[in-house]
Amino acid sequence: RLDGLGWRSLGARNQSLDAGRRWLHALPEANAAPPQRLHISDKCVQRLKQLGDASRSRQPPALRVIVDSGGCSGFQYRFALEHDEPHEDDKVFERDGVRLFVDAISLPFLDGATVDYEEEMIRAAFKVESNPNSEAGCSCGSSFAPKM
Amino acid sequence: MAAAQKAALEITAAAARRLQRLMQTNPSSIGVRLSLKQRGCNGLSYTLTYATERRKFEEEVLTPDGTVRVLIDPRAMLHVVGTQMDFVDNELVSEFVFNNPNEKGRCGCGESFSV
Repeated sequence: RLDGLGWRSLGARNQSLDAGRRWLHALPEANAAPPQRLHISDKCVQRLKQLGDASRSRQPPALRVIVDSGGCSGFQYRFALEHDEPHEDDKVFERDGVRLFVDAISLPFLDGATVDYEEEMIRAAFKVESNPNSEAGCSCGSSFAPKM
Repeated sequence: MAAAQKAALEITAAAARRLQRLMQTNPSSIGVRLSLKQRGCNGLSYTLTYATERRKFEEEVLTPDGTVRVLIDPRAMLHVVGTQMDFVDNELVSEFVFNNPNEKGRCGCGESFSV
């Protein structure tokens, strides 16, 4: 008997259970670590827009940043340009109409870092800068050793 | 045409085009200087700077069309002789690449090398 459990109707009982479930689902979010961040420099925005202007679609490509094993310091950064939508496990960072995609495995290694497009006379390239998760890096900046 | 002495540095057409553009953005320089710096995990790394004068003992190499002067630091000369200077340009990276026959090892990222 429903009224013996304190609910006036089956509908009320289900509503009450749903509210309980919603509360449980909300819990991990409320207790989770602060959101992970990736800064996008002015020059990185400029370069992606410039690539968009040069393309037929006129849409700036998204920049995918990947942390991979390799390089003389153990881990290295890789970059790729993408014209499709992000994958399901990607975190998307956005600034002034340009987007960066980072997969779930790479994300903790990049939290708080800045993605830049560095232009020197000898070389111009995308670069991960001031990464708080990096303990030591290669002089070229393409590889790093993470803080453990 | 007189028998040309083999140039110390071979500059590809792509590298020459890039050098011309660099010179246009910096008209006060007379050319670029190629030198080596001791750094990187393989010992040596190339550096390029704008040159405002030709220094003593510096080797001068012209681009194939004769428009841009590349000065080679005398301390770098021994290591770079015979090297091809190329320019790779794609959406992710635009960089000068040095194909050096004297090279014995190089860093994974290509930034430093040893002879």
